[in-house]
Amino acid sequence: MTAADFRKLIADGVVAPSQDFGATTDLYEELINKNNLSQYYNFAASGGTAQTNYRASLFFNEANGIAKQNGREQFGGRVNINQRGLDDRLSLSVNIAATMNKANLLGGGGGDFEQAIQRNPTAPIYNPDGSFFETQGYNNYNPLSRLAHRISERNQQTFSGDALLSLKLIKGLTASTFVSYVRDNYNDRYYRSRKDWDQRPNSDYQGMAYASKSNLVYWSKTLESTLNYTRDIGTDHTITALAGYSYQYETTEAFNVNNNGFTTDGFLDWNLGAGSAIQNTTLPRPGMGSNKVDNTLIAFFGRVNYSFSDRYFLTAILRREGSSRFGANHKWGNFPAVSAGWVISEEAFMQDISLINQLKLRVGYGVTGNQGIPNYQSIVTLGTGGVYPQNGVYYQTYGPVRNPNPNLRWEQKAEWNFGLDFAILNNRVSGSIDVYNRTTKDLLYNYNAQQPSFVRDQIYTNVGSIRNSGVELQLSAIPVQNKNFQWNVDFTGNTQKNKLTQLSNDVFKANWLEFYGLPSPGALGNAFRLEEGGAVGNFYGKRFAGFTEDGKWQFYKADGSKAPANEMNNDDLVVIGNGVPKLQLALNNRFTYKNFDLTVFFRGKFMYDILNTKELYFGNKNWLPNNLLKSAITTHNALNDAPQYSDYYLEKGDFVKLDNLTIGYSFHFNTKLIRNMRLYITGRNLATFTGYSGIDPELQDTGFETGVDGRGFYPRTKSMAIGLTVGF
Amino acid sequence: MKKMTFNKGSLLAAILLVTTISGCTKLDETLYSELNKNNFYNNKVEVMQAALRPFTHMQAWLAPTGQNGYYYHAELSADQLAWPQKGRHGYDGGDHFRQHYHTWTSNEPRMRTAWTLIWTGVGMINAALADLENLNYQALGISVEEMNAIVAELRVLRAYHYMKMMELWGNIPIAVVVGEPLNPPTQSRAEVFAFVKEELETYVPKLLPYSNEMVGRVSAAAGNAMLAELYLNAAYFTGTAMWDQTIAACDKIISGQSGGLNGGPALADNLNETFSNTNRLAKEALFQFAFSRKGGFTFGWGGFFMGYDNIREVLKVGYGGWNAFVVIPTAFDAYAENDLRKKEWFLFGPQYKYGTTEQILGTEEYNGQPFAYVNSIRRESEGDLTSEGSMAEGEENSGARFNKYKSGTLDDANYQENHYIIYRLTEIYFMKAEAIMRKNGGAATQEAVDLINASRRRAFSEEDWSAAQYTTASLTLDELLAEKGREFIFEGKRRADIIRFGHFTNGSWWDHQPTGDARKEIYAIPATQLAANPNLVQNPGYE
Repeated sequence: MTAADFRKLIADGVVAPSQDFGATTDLYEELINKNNLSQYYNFAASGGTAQTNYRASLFFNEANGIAKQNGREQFGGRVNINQRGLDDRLSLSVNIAATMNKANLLGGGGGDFEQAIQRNPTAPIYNPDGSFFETQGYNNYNPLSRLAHRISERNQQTFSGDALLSLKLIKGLTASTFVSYVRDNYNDRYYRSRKDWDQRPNSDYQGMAYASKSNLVYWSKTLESTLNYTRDIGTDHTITALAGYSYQYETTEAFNVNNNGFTTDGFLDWNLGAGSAIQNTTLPRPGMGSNKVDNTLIAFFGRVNYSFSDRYFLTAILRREGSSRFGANHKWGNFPAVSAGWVISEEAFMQDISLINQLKLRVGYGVTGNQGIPNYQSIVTLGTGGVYPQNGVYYQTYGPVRNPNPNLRWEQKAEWNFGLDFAILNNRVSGSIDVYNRTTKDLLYNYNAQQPSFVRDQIYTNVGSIRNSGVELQLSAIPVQNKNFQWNVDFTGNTQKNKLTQLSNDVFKANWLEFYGLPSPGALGNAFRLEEGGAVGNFYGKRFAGFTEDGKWQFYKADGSKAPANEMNNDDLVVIGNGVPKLQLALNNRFTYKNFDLTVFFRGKFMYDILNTKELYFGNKNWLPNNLLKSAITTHNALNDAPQYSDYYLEKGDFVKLDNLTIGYSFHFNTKLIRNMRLYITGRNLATFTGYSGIDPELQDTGFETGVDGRGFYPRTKSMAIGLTVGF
Repeated sequence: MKKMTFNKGSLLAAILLVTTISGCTKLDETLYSELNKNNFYNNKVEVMQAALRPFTHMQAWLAPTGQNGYYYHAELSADQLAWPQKGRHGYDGGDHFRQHYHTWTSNEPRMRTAWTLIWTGVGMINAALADLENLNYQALGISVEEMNAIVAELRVLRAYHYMKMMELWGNIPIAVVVGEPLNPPTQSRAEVFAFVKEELETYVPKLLPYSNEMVGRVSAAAGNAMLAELYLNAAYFTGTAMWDQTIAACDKIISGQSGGLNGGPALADNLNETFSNTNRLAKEALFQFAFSRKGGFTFGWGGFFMGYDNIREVLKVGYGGWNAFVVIPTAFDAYAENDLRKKEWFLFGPQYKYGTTEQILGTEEYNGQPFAYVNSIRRESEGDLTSEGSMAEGEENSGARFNKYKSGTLDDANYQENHYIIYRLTEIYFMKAEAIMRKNGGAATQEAVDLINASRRRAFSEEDWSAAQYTTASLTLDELLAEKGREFIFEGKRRADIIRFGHFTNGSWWDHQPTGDARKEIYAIPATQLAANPNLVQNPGYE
C-alpha cells in the first residue's frame, strides 16, 4: 500500500491517527540500486606447437545487485598448458586458476525488502536532525539505517591447480595420474556503528559499537590413478577396460572473533582489542570460536565397455567407495552399474526404411551412493555444554554431543532407465524418450531417536526409502530449412512422481518428517509433512471452511464439523496440496534469416501448489499497524482474524515464462584480422503467464521444501544485455 | 633438455601408479573440535566438567528460559498463568489454548520437546555415570569419599528427573544405561515411584551439606527437599500417605543439618532478596541453578516474561521478550490490595520509562498510545470493558506481568547475575505445614500456622499484619493452597500443587472449565515416541 492508501485507512478509522507519521515514503524505491550496471571483461590468448599448447585468460567482473550495498568485484586468471612427448606417448596437462573476490554482503537481504512492504509508509526515513527514524512496531526496522551504519564484507580468494599425466605403456594400454588441489579462503568483516539501532544507548551495548571478523579456509586434495585398455578384436568387437583408484581429502578450518564496547567509530573492525567489553562486564561478553573438520573419500573402480559391430553396446561398472563418515564396519559400499544399447537403425532389415535415420534403444541399471551428511556422526565424542561453577569458578562442561551410530552406512540410489533415441525425415526431426524409476533406500537423515534409551533426541541413520519415477521427452525439429531461412524447434518435457515408501527399519521408526516451520508471529507450525506412503512435497494443514460473520476463521474438524482456530488440533490436519511440479515443459524456437538470428525460449511448470506466505501474513488487516498488501482490504477484506495456515493460502502455481528473447546479427568481413563478429541484444525473464497472484510462481521445486513463496520481497528482475563477440 | 623432463615424468608416473595401486585405504576420522573420551578425564577439573554437564542441560527444561519443557506445562495448564493470543501474536498453533483448556492430544509439539529435553538430561546423567564408573579416579587425586559424593549427586539428580517425569506422564520407562535396552518398556507409576524413592533414600544420605562452595549443586538440602516433595505427593502418587516422612525430611533441612548458604538456611528478610541479582548466596536457597552472565551463562527469562522492546525502557534492561505469559485475572485478584507481593512481584498499571514519570507507548493495539497493564484479557481496544474475555482475546497489555526476578539495570554491576531458585526454605515450611494439617484431618495446628505466617509476614506492613496473619481457624487447607499460590507464583510449582489438592481437573478459573476427567492429570506420551519405541504404552484416555 502507498502512503495515500494507508492514510485512507486512517481516515476510515481502521488505523489509529497516531500512525500517520507525516511522511510519504516508498521504501522499495529507496532500496533499489538504480545504477546496477554490471560489467564483465574477459581476455584470452592461446597458441602452441604440435607438442605444446597453452591457453591463458584473465577476467574482471564488477557486478552490482538490484539492491543497494550488494555487489562484488572480482578478477582472476587461468592458465592451461598441454605438453606431449615421447612420440606422443606421454602427455601432461596442467591447469592453474585463481580468483580474487571482494563482495559487499550488506544489502539485498530478504529482510530489507520485507520492510519495504510492511513498514509504515507514512514513516519518514530521516528525523529532522538527519538521524534515521525508527518505527518501534513489531518486526519493524529502518533498512536504510541498517545500510548506513553497518559493514558486511567478504574478501575471498580461491585457487585451484591440477595436473594430468598420461603415459601410453603399450599399444592400447594407457596409465594416467591426476592430482588436484583446491583452496578457498575467505575473511569476513562485520561492523555495527555506534549510531546503529541495535547499538542504541538503551540496548545491551549501551550506545557503543560492535565488530567481528571471521576466517574460513577450505582445501581439498585429490589423487586419481587409472589404467585404460582398448582393444579391437577382429572387425566387429571392441573392448575398452578401465581400472582406477581415487583418494580425496577435504578439510575446513574456521575461526571468528567479536568484541563490542567501541566508544569510537574511528577503527571500524580494524582494532578489535579497543572494545571496552573486554573489561566492562556489564556489556555483552566478547566472543570467539574456532572449528576444524575433515573427511576422506576413497574409491576403487573398474569399467568395461564392449561393442559389437557398432550395433550392440554393453557397459559394466563397479565402484567400491569408502567414506570416513560412516561407521567402522560400514565405511565401504559397492556400486555396480550395467547398461546396454541396441542401434536398431543399423540392422540390415532397417536399411530399406528410409523414413528412419536413427533408432536406438537403451536400457540401464545402476546404483550410486550418497555420503552427504556431517562428519563424525558414527562416533562417540564429548563437546562443550555451557559453563557451570566448580567452587565458584565457572568452567566449561563436557558431555555427549550426539547419539553415535556405529552402523551408519551409505545411502543407495538404484535407478532403472529405458530410453529410445530416434531421428527421422532426413534427421529433420529427432528426439529421445526416457522412462526412469529411482529407488533411494537407506535414506540418510537426522531422525528422531527413541528416548530413552538414546541420550540425544536425534540420530543420523539409514531409515526410509523414496521412490521417484518419471518420463522425459526431448524433441528437435527443423520445420523450415532453405538457403536464407531456417527455423529450429526444441521441445523438452518431463513428468515426475515422488513417494516416501518406507520410514522405518529394525531399530528406528518414525511416523513422519516435517519441514518448513512458518515464521512468527503466531508460530503457525510446519508447512510440510512427509508420511510413509505420502508424496514428497505434501502441504499438511487445516482446511478452510469459510469466515464467520465477524470475519473469524472457520476450519473443518476431522469429523467434518466447522470450528474456530482455537479448537483445531493435530488430528484435524490433512494433506492439503503438493508443491512439486508434476509436469515441466520447455520450448525453444530459433530463426535465422541471412545474417540475422532470433531466439524465443518459453518454459513452464505445471500441476503444483504454492503456499503464498506473503498473503498469509501481509494480506491480513491483522498485520496493522504495519503496512499491508492491498489484498488485505480487497481479496481478504472479509477476514478479521490473526494469520492462520490453511489451504486458503494455497494457489495453483502453473506458469509459462518467456525466458529468453535474443536478436543477433553476424558480420562477415573479408579480412584476416577479424575472424568473426556478432552483435546481439538479449532479454531474460521478459514475461510470465500465470494465474498465481504472487510475484513469481517459479520457486524451489526439489528437496523437501517445495513451492513456498517466502515472505522476503526480493525483486524479480528482467535483464537486458547487449553483447559483442569478436574473434581474432 | 626436453628428454630429461620426460624421463622424470615417466618415472613420476610409475611411482604414483605403484603407490596408489597398493593404495591408501585409511578412513578413520580425526577429531579437532570435539573430545575423544580417551584423552579426557585426566584430572579432577575434567571429571567435574563431565559430572556437571547434566546440570547445564537441566535449566533448559526446568527454568523459565523460553524452552518448552517442564516449566511451560507446569504453569500454563494451571490456574495462575496463561499465554493468551494477543491479536496476531501468540496463536502458536493453538498450543497454549490446549494447555489452558486441557484439550491436549498425544501430538503436541511442545510436549514432544518436553519429553526429549528431560530424557536428554537422564541420558547425560547415565552417560556421565558410566564414564565415572570406569575411571581410575584415585590416580587423579580424587578420594573414594569424593567420588561417592559425586556419584550420589548424579543419582539423586537423576531421581529428580524421574520424579518430575512421573508427575507429567505417570507411566514411563526406567532407563539407567545408555542404549540398553534399546527400547525400554513403560513401567507403571507405582514402579517409577518405588524407583525414585529407593534412589533418593539410598543416595541423599551420602550427599554433602549445602555450602558456599557447593552453590548450584545437589547437596543434602536439595536431596531432602526432593524427598519431602516425593513424600508429600505419595498419597496422590500411590494412595499411601507419608506425612511423617514428609515432616522428617523437612526437619532435616529446617534444623540446619543439611547445610545452607551464608550461614543459612534461613527465611529471607524481604520479598526480593531471594530473586535479586545478588541471590547467588541467598540464605533461603536450598537448590539453585547457578546462572551467571559474567560467567557466560545468563538466566534469560525474557522470552516468556518480558513484553516487547518498549518494556525494556521500563526496567532499563537490554532484553525484550515475546510478550507471552500473563497473569490470569483471578490469580492476580487472589492478592489482597495491601499484600506487598502484589506490588513487588508484578508489573501492573501505567508503565513509565525507568526513573521518570514519562509513560511509555504501546506498539500493537495501543500503538503510539500511553501504555498500562490491565487485569483483564479482553479486547478493550475494541470497546470490550466488561466481558470475562478469553484465551483468544488478549491484547498487548492484557494481564499483570512477571517482575519477581529482577535483573537490575543495564549499568548495574550485577546486571543479570540472578540464579534460578529451584527449592527454597519457604517451600519446606509450606510442605511441613501441609503434612501437619493433613495428618491432623485438614485442620491447622499452631505449628502449621507459625510455619505459614513466617513467610507471609514479609508480605504485609507492620500495621496490616495483625489482620493479615493466619490463625488456626483461618488457615484451612484451601487457604494454604491459595497462600502457596501467592507465594510461589511464577516458580513452576502450581500444576503439581493443584493436582494434589484435586483442583486440576475439577476447578474452574477464568476461561478454563473443568474437564472432570482425572486422566488429564497426566499427559499423553508423545506419539512420536510411541512410534519410535514399540515398548511404550500410551496413557489411559489418549489411546
